[in-house]
Amino acid sequence: MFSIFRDSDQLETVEQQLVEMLTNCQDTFRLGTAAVFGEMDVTEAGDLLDGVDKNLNKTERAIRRELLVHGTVRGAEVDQGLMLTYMSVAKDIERIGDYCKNIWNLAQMGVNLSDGFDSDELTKHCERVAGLIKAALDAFAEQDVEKVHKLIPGIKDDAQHYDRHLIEFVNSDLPGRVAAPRALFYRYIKRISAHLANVLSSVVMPVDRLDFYKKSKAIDTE
Amino acid sequence: MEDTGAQPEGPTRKPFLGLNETVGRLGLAIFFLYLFLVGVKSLEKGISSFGEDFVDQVFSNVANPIAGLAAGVLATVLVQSSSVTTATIVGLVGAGVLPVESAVPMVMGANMGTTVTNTLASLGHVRQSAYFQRAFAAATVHDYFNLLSVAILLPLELAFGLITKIAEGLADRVKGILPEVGTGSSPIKSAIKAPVSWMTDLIESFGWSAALGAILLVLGIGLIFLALWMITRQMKAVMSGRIENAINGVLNKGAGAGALLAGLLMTIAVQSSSITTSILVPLVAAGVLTLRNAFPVTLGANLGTTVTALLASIAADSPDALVIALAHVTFNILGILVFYPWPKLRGIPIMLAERTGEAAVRHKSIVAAYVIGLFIVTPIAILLIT
Repeated sequence: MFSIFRDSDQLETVEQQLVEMLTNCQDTFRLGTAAVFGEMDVTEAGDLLDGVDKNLNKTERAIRRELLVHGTVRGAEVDQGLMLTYMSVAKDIERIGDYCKNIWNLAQMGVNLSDGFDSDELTKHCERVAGLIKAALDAFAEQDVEKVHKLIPGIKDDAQHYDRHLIEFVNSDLPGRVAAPRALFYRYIKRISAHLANVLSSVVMPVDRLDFYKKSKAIDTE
Repeated sequence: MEDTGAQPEGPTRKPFLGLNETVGRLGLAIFFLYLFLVGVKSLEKGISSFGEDFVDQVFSNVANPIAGLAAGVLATVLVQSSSVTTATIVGLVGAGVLPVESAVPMVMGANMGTTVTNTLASLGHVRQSAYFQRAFAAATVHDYFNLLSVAILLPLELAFGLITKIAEGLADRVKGILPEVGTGSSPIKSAIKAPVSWMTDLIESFGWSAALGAILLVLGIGLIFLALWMITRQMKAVMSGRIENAINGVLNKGAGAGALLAGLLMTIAVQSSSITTSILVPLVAAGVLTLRNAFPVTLGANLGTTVTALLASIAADSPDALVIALAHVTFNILGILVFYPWPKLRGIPIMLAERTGEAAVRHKSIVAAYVIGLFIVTPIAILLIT
């Protein structure tokens, strides 16, 4: 019963929860893409993904509560900037989970991206995003400023590339059952990448510029 | 256009309270606890120096229990701390100015008066109706618990001396275990008396013997204020992480004995029920904590604040000081026993608070009438009438 009176740094706990959420995102992305590339049974992947997604949502709510308690207990001493940052980061990570679920939804609708003309490229993009989630997780957990400055420009380039594909499929003469899932897939991985960039921006950007990365405005830039 | 102003602060980690700072703050808290006891002793000595006329005057003013109750409410509202009021009452009883029977209603009044702090804290949510409704209910549930407890226990005290008899029985038991309680012989008491004797000698050496009582009284109250403020400050800094854990525990596990215990321990740790209950108000306002789950924390806080009077009784020479401190504990335990174990009775203060919250949102004037009426006008009117 007295364990509730164990001391701890609450913001450190929140940071650990955010890292745990990013780890969950690795799982949700793996499950979503495994289903849409026919590497895993759709129902089985869906069940597993649902469990991880529920955990993501639960952790986001817990973080909100803990930050509220932290602000209430600490009053004027509280680091308001950090609290607002973590609220924003939790939302971004939760959204990544949602987009992974959207990818799984494509599989649920009968889409299989492994048997198309562009399966190699799509697989390559999947690997890139999976690698990006892992890199973002590490950079965020270590608060590695240099790594963040390297990752974000790459994500911006990726986003432009995904957009070009999206526009291409929207305007293509391919049948809807081929073009539409691909357009959606590119849209989803673009959003996942963008939310990862937002998470990373929390390491280097001031609170008012969260999600709006600009190297010259980063807090480590003189 | 590029802005060229200074870069705003980015997200940075504040260092966790280190071991050295924790030990330093705990050391300061112990030092101020000692000053608090010196303050109580100084107050007691100052009052004793006033002579019998003063004693008779004070006693005649609060001989009426309703007047005593009102005096307790008003004094606590004015100083914004039931700890200061109860420590002063213990000092008065210790000095033999106030009989225990007259002090019991005053202690009840102090219990009621302390709730004004979180009621005022709830006003911070007035801009958003739904938030304010919950915030005001969270604040007033404490008021209703105290009001209902007084409504039931004060008549029983007046008719049968219920609280005094229980407190006397408990004091006898304590004295059985710690015989030096209520005597001036313990080393702690000697350490507390020494600075008061030095102050007395110093005042007399200046030739201010005529004002000795007044000076010691003012010094005593000043020391009590300062010491409690500093203890609360130090302990809050040391305990913040643990308090957050406790509150998170209440949010995750819900109401129950654990929540009551959390409120009790938090309040003992920071020596202020207002801090504990004022933390609950924004959490209930935000909707993350229900009023039903906040209620046991409030009860725990009410009980936890009685530790101040128990500490104050260490400084007093008279065994009656311990009796009044234990009367404060008894009053709160009996209140909890009446209004917590049975869901139907538990629901009464909660329901009244919810209704008050609803009414406060419909008519904001009710809020002003409630705060001013309950905490200022009524006690003053009672004091004037009696």
